[in-house]
Amino acid sequence: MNGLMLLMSEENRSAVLGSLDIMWKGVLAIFIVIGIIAIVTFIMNDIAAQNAKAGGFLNRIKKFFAEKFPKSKKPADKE
Amino acid sequence: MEYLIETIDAVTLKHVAMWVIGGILIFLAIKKKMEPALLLPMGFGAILVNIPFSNVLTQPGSDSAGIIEWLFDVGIHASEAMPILLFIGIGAMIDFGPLLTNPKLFLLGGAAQFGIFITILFAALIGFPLNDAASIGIIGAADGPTAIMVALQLGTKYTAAIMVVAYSYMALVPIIQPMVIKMITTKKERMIHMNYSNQTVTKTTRILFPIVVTLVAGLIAPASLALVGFLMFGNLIRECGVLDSLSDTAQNALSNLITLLLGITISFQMTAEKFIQWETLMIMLLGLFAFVFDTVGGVMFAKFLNIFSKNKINPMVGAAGISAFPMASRVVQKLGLEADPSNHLLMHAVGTNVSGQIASAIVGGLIIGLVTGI
Repeated sequence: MNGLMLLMSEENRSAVLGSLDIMWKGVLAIFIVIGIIAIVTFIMNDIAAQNAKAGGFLNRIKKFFAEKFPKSKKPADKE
Repeated sequence: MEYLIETIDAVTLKHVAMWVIGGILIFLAIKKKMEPALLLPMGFGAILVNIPFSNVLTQPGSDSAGIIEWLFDVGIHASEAMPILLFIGIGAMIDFGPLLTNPKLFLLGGAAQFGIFITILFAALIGFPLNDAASIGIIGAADGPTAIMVALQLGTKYTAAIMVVAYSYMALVPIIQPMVIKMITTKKERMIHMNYSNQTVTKTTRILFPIVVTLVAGLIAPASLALVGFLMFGNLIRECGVLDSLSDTAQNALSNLITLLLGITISFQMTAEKFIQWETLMIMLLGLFAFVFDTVGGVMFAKFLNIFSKNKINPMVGAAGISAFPMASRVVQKLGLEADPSNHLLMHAVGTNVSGQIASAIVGGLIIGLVTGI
């Protein structure tokens, strides 16, 4: 490669180095973007599936608060 | 009597060659049905702009602009309006459902853009300057609007050749891809069955998806926003469920109108001086190289994923990541059935194909940003 680069003109060498730069940055960037989109899509699908199982998003929220903050029984009821 | 033969006197061999090339494009469009919506107007436009003193081009000393030159200046040169607006129609036509049920396919769409980058390197090695090499490499995006936008933004002088080559090879996908796929896969690999999940995608996910893609792509590659954003805008119109008439207009009237004008407008770049060069032949070869390596990239990445994956991916599905929709997915379906008549790969191939649409638009924007930044 070094030998090949020496045979090139300055302009050509600059273009080749530029294209190598574009290659690694471009491939890295596209996989980062695509990877993030894939992960977000996976999460959206998962949330949608859980919502469907719980009977809807609002029902899920209600269940969550019901579990976190259960209503305490009054003393008269306990006796 | 001189005024009658003045134009005929000015005809050169190069003009005649361009009439022949225009005729070939028209023949391919009508007889072979190769991308007729674009090749026919381009072919006819090539004849129009190569008649000397044609007033479809602005003539020296004339007060009014030539119509084709005007369409090019306003519709493409000013802000790449035509290809970008066409993306609204394309986005409205795409159903991302098969992709959303299997997000892993996104990675294959990304891998199938590999040919773009390797072609840029090869073009630079041959001697093309970086902006020309990058514009030639984007032929591998297998997407007309993306190729037009990148070529014009980077100011290459080979726009016409790049357009003709890009659209011609897109139509040749059913010939190019099967040969490459068979060379790099075994029959056993082509027989791999993939399970199809019948999980339905909720309307909320379908609506959020275009918004998420726009945000993610825009934050990392803002130069891709014009293409990706308008593609996603079109898709959002389709999926929102409250804009049926706009969705219908985008898919039909808008797409047809822009396609009608785009081909003949691009022919502005098909004047003999710009088109008939040795570099045009090189671009044809490099374009083929790009498509071949896109296919190789997608297939090899699928094989790589199989090393880690319990549920094997049929490597051919990787080849569908090339953005030529729906030809690439049909090729994979056909090869799957050839290997095993019970092997239906269409939905997986379609999912990968549409992810390639998104990936190619993002790569186009990335290349513009990276080249102009160097």
